[in-house]
Amino acid sequence: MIKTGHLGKYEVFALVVISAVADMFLSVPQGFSIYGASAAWMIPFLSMIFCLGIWQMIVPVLAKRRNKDIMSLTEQYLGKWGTATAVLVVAVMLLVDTASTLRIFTETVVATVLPKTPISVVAVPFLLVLIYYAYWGIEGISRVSWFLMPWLLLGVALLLVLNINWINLEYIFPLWGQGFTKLMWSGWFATGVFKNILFISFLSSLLRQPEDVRKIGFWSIITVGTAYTLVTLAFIMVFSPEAAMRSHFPLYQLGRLIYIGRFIQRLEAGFIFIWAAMALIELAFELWLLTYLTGWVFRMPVNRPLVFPFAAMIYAMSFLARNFSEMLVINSQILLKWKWVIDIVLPLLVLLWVRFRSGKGERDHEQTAQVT
Amino acid sequence: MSKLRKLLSMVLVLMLVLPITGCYDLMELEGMAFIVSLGIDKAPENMIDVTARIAVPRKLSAGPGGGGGGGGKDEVVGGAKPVTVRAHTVLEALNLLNTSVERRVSLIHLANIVIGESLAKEGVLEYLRPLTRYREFRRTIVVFIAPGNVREIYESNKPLLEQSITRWTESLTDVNRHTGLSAMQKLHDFISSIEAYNEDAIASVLAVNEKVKEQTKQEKKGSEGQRIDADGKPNFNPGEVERLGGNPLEFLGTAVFHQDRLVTYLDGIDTRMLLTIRGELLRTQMDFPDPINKDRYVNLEIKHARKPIIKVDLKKRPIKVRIEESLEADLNGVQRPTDYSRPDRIRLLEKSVSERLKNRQEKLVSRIFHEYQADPFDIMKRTRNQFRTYQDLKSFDFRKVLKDAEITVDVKLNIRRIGIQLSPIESH
Repeated sequence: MIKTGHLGKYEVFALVVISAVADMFLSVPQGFSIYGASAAWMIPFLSMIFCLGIWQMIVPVLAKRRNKDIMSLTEQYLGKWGTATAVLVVAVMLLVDTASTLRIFTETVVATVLPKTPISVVAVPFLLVLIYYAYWGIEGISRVSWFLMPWLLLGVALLLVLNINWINLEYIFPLWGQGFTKLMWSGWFATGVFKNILFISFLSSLLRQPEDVRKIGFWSIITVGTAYTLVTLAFIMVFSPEAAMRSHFPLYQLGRLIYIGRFIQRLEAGFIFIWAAMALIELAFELWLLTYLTGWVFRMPVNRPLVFPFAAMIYAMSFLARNFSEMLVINSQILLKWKWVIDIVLPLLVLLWVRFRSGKGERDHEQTAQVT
Repeated sequence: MSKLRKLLSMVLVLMLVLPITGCYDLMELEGMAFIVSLGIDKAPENMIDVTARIAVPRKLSAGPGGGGGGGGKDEVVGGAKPVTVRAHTVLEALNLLNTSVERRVSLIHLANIVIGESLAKEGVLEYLRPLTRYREFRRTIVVFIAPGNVREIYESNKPLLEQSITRWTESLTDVNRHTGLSAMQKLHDFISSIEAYNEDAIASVLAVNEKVKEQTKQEKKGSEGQRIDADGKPNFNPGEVERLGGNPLEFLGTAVFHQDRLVTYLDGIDTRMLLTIRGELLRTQMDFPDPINKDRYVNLEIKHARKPIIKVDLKKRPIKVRIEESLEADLNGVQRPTDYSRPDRIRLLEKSVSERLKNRQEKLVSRIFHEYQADPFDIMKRTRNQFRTYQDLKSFDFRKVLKDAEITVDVKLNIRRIGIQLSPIESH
């Protein structure tokens, strides 16, 4: 059993929220625009509603059992091999997701602010910081998240407000975008961006007060859903849905557009810090989680030795795509479209199974007690 | 902490700190040539002539008369004299510029882009597409359309006050908000209107007033006694304002686009009508014929009381467009001693001005809709909410319905104030 410290509810909340919303700086809002057109903003909103429903179904399993996370619960009812397979599937998804985000982040930095810098010069120091955070563990990452979250969210809100002079309300019409049915499906597919549900399922046993898991899940889903909805709404109202489908750096583009008179303009450099800080927290946490899950599957006493090899794997995998466009296609066509299977359906099925089995067990136990 | 650990930490910190300096992307200000205005004009065989005005900070700070080798204000407006190169693309032109400009040219401080009429008539997107992808290019720059030769625009520009082109561009935006004689558009709005369904782009016009240019030349030669033509009348067409002196370059009128192609120009008055329909008219002073005293004028300062309400019935054929405007005005000037403080006369004036605005706007919208199937008024943009899905919007041929659209404009004008004098001054 890997020994880690305990986490406070606010720290976990901040950590899972930042890890889930960091992708809004990359191509996720563009993906929503492609699938939803003028109704793109409804996609994360619908996803939020779906996720709240899912959370209501699975949270009793986590909240009722002290010091149990999804892995230990699954092992109890699904067996050692079944659990190991499920956890490794999640680990592989995390590996691919982290590698993809790292590549998109570094490519975006090179394309926008450091055009002459070789990509490795951006990626290697960034990776070293990730390694540093992941090596020192979840407690440090979560505290940094809690410390930075208000400032980061305030920065994003400011970015949206400062674009108010470009907003066109007409661009949110036609109201149903690509059609109601497509919108509902897109809303379901986009539940994959609510990684916070999966993350909370893994972190629940580390909470000081396990019953806090209910509130953390609920409020993190609301926060993530609201953030994506507002960013996508601003994005399509400023750029028009037609243009939003063609722009893969939404928040950077919004940052460049800020122009409120002579003195308030050219502020995008400030927002790059917000973007980098969020990406750092997201990727450091995912790297740590990757090692934690792998260590757990293989019954390792510590996960630290895995940080370096996994970081090397992430670095190598991030360069598998031949170019940025290929990476964007992988991200929008595969990850954004199918991540929900791992992020949502897997914890949903597993925890529902646990709930069903444990309920049956309790009923059997009660019947046996009555007979005797 | 062991020594090895300390050493490793130091190495790590150094490795992380050094790249923060960003030396790879080092840009020394002294090594840069900042283009503040960029002109694109058509050249033979699908080539373009790109004209750049480069900022020379030393000359800008030296004030009138120029500093250190400058030829005075006439030559150094906004920095160096314009440089023109011929190329296939704008980015190639920037490279070619560097064959004669000794510092690396950069667009990061670009304030405006001037597009020549001949090129604009063929379509501007071909030339703007590469720029919008280029990281140095911002969508917050102002777009101008130039009837005639773009280089001539640069050479004729002799601002009365501003030395910096950036400042000059900002001042023009401010001035035009005040006069309503030109519809200044930032590139973001311009491109968004081209990209979005049911919309068309507009841009402000920069035109050389040949009479003023000639007069300036004559003055340089020493000849005096220039006068405005005896039969000259107030003119609101770009490049044709009846005047003497001032900047030979005029910022007046609006270029109207159909998709990405320039189709027509609006004069200053029609530009005001355009802004009124779009709901973008700020407090603007306009002259109207006096309804009581023929051949005399009254001046009103008009603004929106509310945003115009635009109703479009897309189900009918021809489609019916109804524009309801609610305007407020202050009476600024009356030439004759007619007492417009009397309520009946105010009502008469309101009616006369409303009629005039209504007729002019109906005529304008009908002309642009029927002749050019273009919508610079953002009328059809406001019909997006009538479509249920995006597919419906995409498949709707809005240009087809513009051909015979029926336009009705209803203007409600309320003259709220009558200036700082009640009854007019009279001579006895």
